[in-house]
Amino acid sequence: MSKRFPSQPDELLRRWGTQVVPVDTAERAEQRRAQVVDALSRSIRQNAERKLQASRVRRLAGLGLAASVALGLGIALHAKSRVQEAGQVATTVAELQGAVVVSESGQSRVLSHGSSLTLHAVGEIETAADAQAEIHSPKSLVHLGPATKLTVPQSTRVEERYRLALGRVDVSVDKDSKITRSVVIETPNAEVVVHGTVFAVGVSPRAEHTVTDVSVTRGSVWVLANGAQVAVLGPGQHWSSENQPALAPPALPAVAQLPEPEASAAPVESPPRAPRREPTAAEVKASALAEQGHMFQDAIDARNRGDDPRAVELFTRLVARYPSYEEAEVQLFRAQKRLGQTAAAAAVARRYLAQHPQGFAHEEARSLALSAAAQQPR
Amino acid sequence: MVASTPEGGAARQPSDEELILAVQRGDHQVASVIYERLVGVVDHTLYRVFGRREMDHDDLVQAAFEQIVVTLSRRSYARACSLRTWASSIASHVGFNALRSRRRERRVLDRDAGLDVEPARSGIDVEGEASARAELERLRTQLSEMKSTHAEAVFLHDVLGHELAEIAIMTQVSVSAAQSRLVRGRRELFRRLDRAAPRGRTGSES
Repeated sequence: MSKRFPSQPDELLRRWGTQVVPVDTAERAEQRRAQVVDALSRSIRQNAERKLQASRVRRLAGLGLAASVALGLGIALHAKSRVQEAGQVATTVAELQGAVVVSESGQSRVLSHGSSLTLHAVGEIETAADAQAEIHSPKSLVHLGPATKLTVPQSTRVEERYRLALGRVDVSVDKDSKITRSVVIETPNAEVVVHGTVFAVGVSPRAEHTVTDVSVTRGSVWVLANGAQVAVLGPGQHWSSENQPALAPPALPAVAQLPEPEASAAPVESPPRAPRREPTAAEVKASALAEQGHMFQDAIDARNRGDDPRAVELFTRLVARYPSYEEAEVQLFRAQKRLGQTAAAAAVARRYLAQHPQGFAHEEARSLALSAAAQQPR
Repeated sequence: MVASTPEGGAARQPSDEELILAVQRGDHQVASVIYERLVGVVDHTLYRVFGRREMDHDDLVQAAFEQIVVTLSRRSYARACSLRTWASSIASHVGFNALRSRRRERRVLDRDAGLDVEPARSGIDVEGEASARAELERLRTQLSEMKSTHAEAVFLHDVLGHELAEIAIMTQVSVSAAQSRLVRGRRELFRRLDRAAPRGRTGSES
């Protein structure tokens, strides 16, 4: 018999496949059964437990991930609110030239020689006839011209509002700022709403009312009067309230009580005009002078009676009505000083100094302002 | 898990599906049922891989069963073939891994001493049987040194007789990939056997 050696691989594989598997002994088979079944039972249990643990770990990991996402969002929101809060408190007033009076929470300070002050509450800023100042906020830069009165309320999330009673402001709004609120300049005649641009707003007194002028350098602004849009201005365009039809002016806030830098009998608020005849300038002036004299006399009478509290009340009312009344301001801070209201007297004295740098009571006011400043922490 | 008929007659054996679900929910009571169902195929597959029951045969059987439980728990078993077919695939994988590691060890230590070698049957050509054993041993050696996927494809197809489609399911590849492994595996095995054959006797008649 002939035989090839070694066998062909095909044949070898076939032979391997048909190899007889001998039967194991019963004893050995039973021994193996006991070993394997026990191990198998253990393995089934362990795998199930492992699977349960893995499922718990996955659930925990999911919860952890969700918590991390929530924490991240919380941190992001917190950071955002911090930015917004920073935007609310970081309004700074800086003196550029001349005397600048800043009043905040009943305290007044005179800024000079390039000093600055951070506003934390509603602030009232007045520049003297030869003074200039700047207000920096995270969103805008407001330049105050001479003889300007501006109130800076606390900013909100939606807007940064300035109330211009008199004078001129040049505003530059950073349109790239992360703070998305609008900047609004409110005047007795209008509201100028802007998001990112450079423009100027001026309020000038007339015989019986004030006139608001808006001119835009870059971007565009909306001009609103009594809540209605009256103009949309682009670069190089100008708007004046004088050319507008008669509108009931918005009620003036606290800024209306601020004194004016220039001697003028014109009230900040425009009187109602519609039904009655337009009085002449001379009539208005005469009427104002008469009222002014009457109020002053009442206040002096109270002072002469020794009723300083009443005198203070009347002089305060007079100064509020006629902010540039120099004699009334002097009498007011003197009466307050007599009553021991040092801080209030100093505030009025500072305001007097800002408005009347060469006033007849200049030295007296300066001495009062300095003595009060020495007593209170800055 | 083994149910009795209402008449108290022959017990119904759980299906593969029921066993798999029991393993997945951690019911260790089914361990003996799984063992009884699969021990034959696992034992025979391992026997064929090694050509005998070695000293650690029971440990390999246990390892194969544990691997089967792991794949059932992890749902790696696609249920496209029977549990027995799946078990033979797992057992051959476990067997070839052990065979490979054993070959590596043998380079340092002779493990053949004390092997549970099947006794020669009386009345059979002892020399012929010895040479046949030697040839099969050489075949196993070459197969164990090949790439595992190729070796297993050849073993499952040519030794255990599984269809290509079954092998594809067992090894979780496409049929064409299984075929490619088989063809390449055979080619490499034949080349290796040819190289390893004693010179001067290859192809000659004795």
